Amino acid sequence: MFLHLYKYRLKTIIRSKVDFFWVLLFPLLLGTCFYTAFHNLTTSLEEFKTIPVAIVCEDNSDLTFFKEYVKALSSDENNIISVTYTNAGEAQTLLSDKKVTGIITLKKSIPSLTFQDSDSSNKSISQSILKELMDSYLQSMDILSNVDVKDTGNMIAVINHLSNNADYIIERKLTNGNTDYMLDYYYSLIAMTCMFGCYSGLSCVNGLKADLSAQGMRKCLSSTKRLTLILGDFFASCTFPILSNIILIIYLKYILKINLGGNVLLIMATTVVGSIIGVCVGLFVGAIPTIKPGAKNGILTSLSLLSSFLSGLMVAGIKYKIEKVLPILNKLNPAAVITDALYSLNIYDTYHQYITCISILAVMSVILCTLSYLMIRRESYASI
Amino acid sequence: MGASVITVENLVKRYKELIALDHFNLDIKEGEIFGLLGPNGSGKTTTMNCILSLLKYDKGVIKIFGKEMKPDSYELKKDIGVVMQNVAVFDELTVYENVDYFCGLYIKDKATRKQYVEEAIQFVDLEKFKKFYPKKLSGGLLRRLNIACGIAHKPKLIFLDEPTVAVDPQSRNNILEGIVKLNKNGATIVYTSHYMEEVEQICTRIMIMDKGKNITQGTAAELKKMIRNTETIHIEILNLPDSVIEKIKELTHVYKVEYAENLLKVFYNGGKHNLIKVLDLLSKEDLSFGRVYSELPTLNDVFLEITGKELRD
Repeated sequence: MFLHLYKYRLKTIIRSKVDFFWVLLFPLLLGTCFYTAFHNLTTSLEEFKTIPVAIVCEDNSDLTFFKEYVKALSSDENNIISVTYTNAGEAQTLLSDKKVTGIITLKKSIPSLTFQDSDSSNKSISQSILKELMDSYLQSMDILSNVDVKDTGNMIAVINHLSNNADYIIERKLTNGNTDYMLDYYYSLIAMTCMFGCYSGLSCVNGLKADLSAQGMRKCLSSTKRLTLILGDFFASCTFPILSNIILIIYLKYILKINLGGNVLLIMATTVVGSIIGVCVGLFVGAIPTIKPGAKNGILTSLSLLSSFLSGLMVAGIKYKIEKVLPILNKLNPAAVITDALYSLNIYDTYHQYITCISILAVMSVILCTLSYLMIRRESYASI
Repeated sequence: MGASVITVENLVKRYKELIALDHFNLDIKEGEIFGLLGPNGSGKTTTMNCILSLLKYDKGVIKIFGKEMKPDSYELKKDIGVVMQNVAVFDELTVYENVDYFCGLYIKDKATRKQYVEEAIQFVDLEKFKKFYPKKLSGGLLRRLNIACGIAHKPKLIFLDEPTVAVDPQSRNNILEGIVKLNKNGATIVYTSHYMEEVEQICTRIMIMDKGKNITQGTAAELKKMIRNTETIHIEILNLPDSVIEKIKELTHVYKVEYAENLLKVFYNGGKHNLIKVLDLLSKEDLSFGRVYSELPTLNDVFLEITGKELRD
């Protein structure tokens, strides 16, 4: 009997165009929008590509020091620049064809840089790097010229010493997780998808109560026990948002290649609990008899969007500001707790914080579920 | 007459100050098609919902198949089918799936359920539409699907609450024929409607309700005998003189004559060949007339005479 109820309830939810759009398609679309908006930003800032450069020597000056410097920069270890030694004409062609970022011309052992005008931000960064490198070389050469070192071997030793930057501060990683603050948006997106489960919860109540729908009336009159009816519909109502979340996570992680941090199975487990709380919120609001049926949808839309907003869906860092001003709000906001759980999975090596978050969600679900059950268990009404 | 299937004693249902059912009594026997007839708001649906334990009531005893009916009387509910006024199907499920879903709320065994669902679909003649979604069905077909969902589990007692509302005449006839067929197959039917013609056509016994009370009950013929009127003759006639109206009033068995807007209505409380007699009189007076027709009393006349208002008021 349970499977019969579960199967058909799930069919009605999946075939409902409204549920399908809001619970499955909308988060995928929003995730794609986030990816489009943030991905270019992070790659342009963070991705470094080896800078191609042409070197032209205009006279027979001694290039020993310069070649050593360039060799160090283009070594496999550093791989900052890739060098092509050529003549002036060919170098100019390479620059025009955009095959090199700049030309280093050596005259009397003094390098000078030639760039082509560009509007690309990425190229400007490369040009700046090249300029910094050449400035650094000239400064070092200036120091060396003031030192009375005639032996070439010693000179190279000094260059090596100058080029070795001492690490005065030891960098220690507190976490092995992804510290990209953009992740907050994706976590909030997952939390929002969980919260959208409230629509499944609402339609679950509508389909169970005789005073809310004709289908509910027919179920009340059937010979199936009330608890079985409620459980069958409830579990099916939870399944769809859970499936939607799993699809969303697979899409983000394996198709858009976003590093969500943490164990993917635990992320999915979090969305299971998150989806249940979403459905429970819908059940609870739907079951309150004093709220008019038309108003319930509006209340749930406001609740789900507001909770997602406060968890950082639209403004990154809002949750941390709330934590300073009104920390209890973050503990009562299911979306904020879901994002916290995902964050703690990513950042912390231990599961203490994660378990706390999941426990909060579980307690919320049990309370809302119990209250909802008390309101929808009855089969007899004062008026219909 | 068979054993009592439904007994209701002194049922009282209040909505705050409004008394919806006022010490209402009912006894429906096995094998009947029992009609609950009354105007909108007379308490028909409330009676049905109280019997089904869907509505709480203030006072009274309700028994179905001799057992007290409670919200958790699941064993009793197995033998009850309900076809509600509002179409109660899921738009996201096909015709077959809808019937299967609701049948599954009563029948656990898959093979039996499959057979019952096929039979129910066949019964309402929806075989061609099995894979259709409700939105693709016409109003009449949708009503038939609603009936299939309510009767697929082969209940012994079926409640039909105004199943023909907003249905075309052809579908209405199909539905009414189906109800008679269900009764012949052994089901006891409780049929509520405010369409007196339907109730008269299919019900073996009728109760007329008004303001939550049982006004009267009996077979259609018994109810009609309760009133004075046996026939009403309608004649379209222009400029009928008062003197002729007086002469018509003096005819045997005529108890009332009305003349308004060129339509003469002559009410009889018995007698035979009344139409010939009144037409003879008009011929003798050298009066020409238009359309002539005779009407036998309806349940509306019964209701009108007992309550002073029409059923459709």
